[in-house]
Amino acid sequence: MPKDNQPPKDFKEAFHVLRLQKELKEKSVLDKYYIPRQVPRIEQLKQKLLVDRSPAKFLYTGHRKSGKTVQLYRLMADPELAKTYFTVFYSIEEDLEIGDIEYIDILLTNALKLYKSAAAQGLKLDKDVLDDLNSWFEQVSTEVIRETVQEKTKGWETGAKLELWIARIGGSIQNESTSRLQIRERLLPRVSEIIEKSNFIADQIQQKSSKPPLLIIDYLDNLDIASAQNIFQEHTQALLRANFKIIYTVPIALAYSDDFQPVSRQFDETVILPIINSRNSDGSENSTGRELLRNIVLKRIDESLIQDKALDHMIGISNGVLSDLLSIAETCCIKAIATKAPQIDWNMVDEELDTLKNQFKRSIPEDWYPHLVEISQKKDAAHDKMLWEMLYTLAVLEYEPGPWYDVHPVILQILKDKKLLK
Amino acid sequence: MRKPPLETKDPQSFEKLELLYTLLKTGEKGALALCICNSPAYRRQLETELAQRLKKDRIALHTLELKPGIISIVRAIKEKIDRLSPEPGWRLALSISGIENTISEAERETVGKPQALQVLNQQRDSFLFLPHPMALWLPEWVVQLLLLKAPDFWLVRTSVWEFSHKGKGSIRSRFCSGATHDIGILISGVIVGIGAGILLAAILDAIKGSRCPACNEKIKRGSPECPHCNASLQWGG
Repeated sequence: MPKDNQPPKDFKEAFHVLRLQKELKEKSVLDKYYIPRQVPRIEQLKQKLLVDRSPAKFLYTGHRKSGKTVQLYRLMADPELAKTYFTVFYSIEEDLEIGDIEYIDILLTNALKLYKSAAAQGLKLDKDVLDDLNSWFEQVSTEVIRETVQEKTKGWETGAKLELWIARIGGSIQNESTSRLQIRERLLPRVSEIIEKSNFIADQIQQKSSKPPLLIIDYLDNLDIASAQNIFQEHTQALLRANFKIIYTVPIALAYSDDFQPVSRQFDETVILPIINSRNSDGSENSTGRELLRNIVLKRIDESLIQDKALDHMIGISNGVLSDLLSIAETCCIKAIATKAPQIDWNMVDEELDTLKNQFKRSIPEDWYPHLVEISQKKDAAHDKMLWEMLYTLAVLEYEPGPWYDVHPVILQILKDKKLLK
Repeated sequence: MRKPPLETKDPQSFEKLELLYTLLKTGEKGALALCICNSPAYRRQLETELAQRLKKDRIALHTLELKPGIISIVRAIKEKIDRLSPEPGWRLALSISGIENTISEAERETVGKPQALQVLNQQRDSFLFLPHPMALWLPEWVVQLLLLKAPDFWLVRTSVWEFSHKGKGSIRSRFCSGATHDIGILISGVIVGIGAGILLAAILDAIKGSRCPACNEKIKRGSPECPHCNASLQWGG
C-alpha cells in the first residue's frame, strides 16, 4: 500500500488496493480508503444505538456487494459509538462452518466471542463467573475435549483454563463435524443456559468497562435462504433473548419474503442499505451518486492512470454495483500492465461491458425478458418471487428513495440489442 | 498485443492468455480469474503455456483437478495449498479445474442447487484470503449454473475470460527460440500427447453416459462432434 494518503500511481499497486476488502476492518486502512457516504438509514441506526437503552436487536441487510460490511466497519469505528459501547464484531465464516450452521451454534459463538473480546481487552471477570463458566463448558463438552482440557490444565488458574475450553469447543464446532453434532446434542436442551451465560458475560463487560456490549454478527447474509429461514424464522425468540444489543446481518431475499414480515416485526428494526444511485428514476444522471462512485475508484487508483471517459463508462456500466465497478477497474489494471498502456482507456472498459453482457445472457431465463422490459419502462415491479430472483441475480436493482426499480444497465443494453427496447 | 503464432478460430484467446498470465504474475492473495473453457484438452494446452511462462518469473503453477464427491471446493484448494512447499525465492499460482466433477449426475438432472455450488456460494469470501493467485476453469454449462445457483460467488472474481476451443490449431510457447524453440516444441508435444491421452480416457469415460464431456449436453452415440459446443468426440468400440 502507498505510504502516504495518495492513491497508487502504478497499476500493480492500484490492482492490489482495489481488491482490499476485509483489510478495511483496520481503522487505519478504513480511514485511508473509505469515502464518506451519506446513508440516512445507517445514520438513523447510529442515532438509535446512541439513544436507545434497551437491548434492541436489529436486522441489517442490503444488496449483494453494496458495501454492507464496510458500513458495519464504519459503525464499529465511529467515535461516538466507541465511547458508548463495548463493540464486539465477528464474521460468522471465521468461526463456523458456513455450510452447516444452526441457531444454537450462533448462540454459543456469541458467548465465546464476548468472553474472548473481554479477555483481549484485559477485562478481568469475577472469579465466581469464571468458575461457573468453567464448570458449564465442562458439562457441555464432548468426552474427548473434556479429557484433553482436564489433563492439560491441571494446576492452571481459572481464566487460563476457561480460555482452553473456549479454544477447544470453538475449534470443534468450526472444524469437526462429529464433535459439532455432539456439542449441539448437549446444547439443545440447554438453550436457556447458553443465553444466560452470554448475559452473565455481558453484565461483567458492562461492569468492568462501564459500557454495554454491542454485538455485530456479519456474514449471516451469506447463508442460503433455507438455512436463514430456519435460523431466523424458527428460532426468533432465542435470537431475541440476549440482554444486550445485537445487529444480525440477514440475506436480502429473506428480508423481502412475505413469510418473514411477521418475524422481522419482532426485531426492533430492519435496516436495508440502499445501492448507490448513479441515475435517477427519470433516467437523468445522479451527480451525487456518480461523484461518490468516482471518488471510490480514484481513492484507489490515481486519476493520471485512467481516462476521464473511461471512468465515466465504468460508472455507467456498474451503476452502483460496487463489486462490478471494482472488478472492472481491477481487470483494466491487468490490461494496462499487459499492454504497457499508460492509462486505462474507454475501449478497455467497453470490453468489460461485453463480458458482463455475456454473463447476463447466460443467466437470464427467456421468460424474464417481457418483465425486464416492463420494469425498465415503469421503474417499478410487482413484489413477487420473480422479482426476488431478479434482484438476487442483480438483473434488477432497487434504489432509494421509494424504492424504485430498474434493470441493470447491462441488461438495458441487452434489451436494446434484442430490439425489445428502443 | 502480439499475434498468436498458430491459427485459432478465436484469436482473442491469445490476448486473454496474456491477461491471465499477467494476472497470475501480478496478483497475490485472493486474485481469482474465472476462465470459461469447454475443452479440457485446450485448457491443458493453456496451462502448459502458462506454466512455462510463469516459470521464467519464478512462479510455479500448480494444477488441481477437483474430484467427484468434493463438497467444499475451498477446503480442497486449501488442502492442496497445504501440501505445496515452494522452493525458496519462488511464488505459487494455482490452476483449478474439474468443478463439473463436483456436480453429481443426479444434481445435473434436477432444478435444485448442487451441494458443492451451494457451499461455494456461502464460502465465497474465503477465496479473497487464499494466499496465491488462481485460475478457476469452468465449462460453459457450469457457468450458467453458477450464475443462477451461486451468483454471489461470481462477485468475488477479479476477471472473467473466455477461451474458445473451436480451433484446430494450438497455442504454442512464444518464448522458445533457436535450439530451445525445437526443444520447447518437443516438450510441448510430449506434454500435449500425455494430455491428449488423459483427455481420451476422460472422453471415453464420459461417453458411457452419452453426454459431451465438454458441455455436458446430451449427445448421440457415434457423433464425431458435439452439436452443442463443437468439441471433437472419440468413441470406443
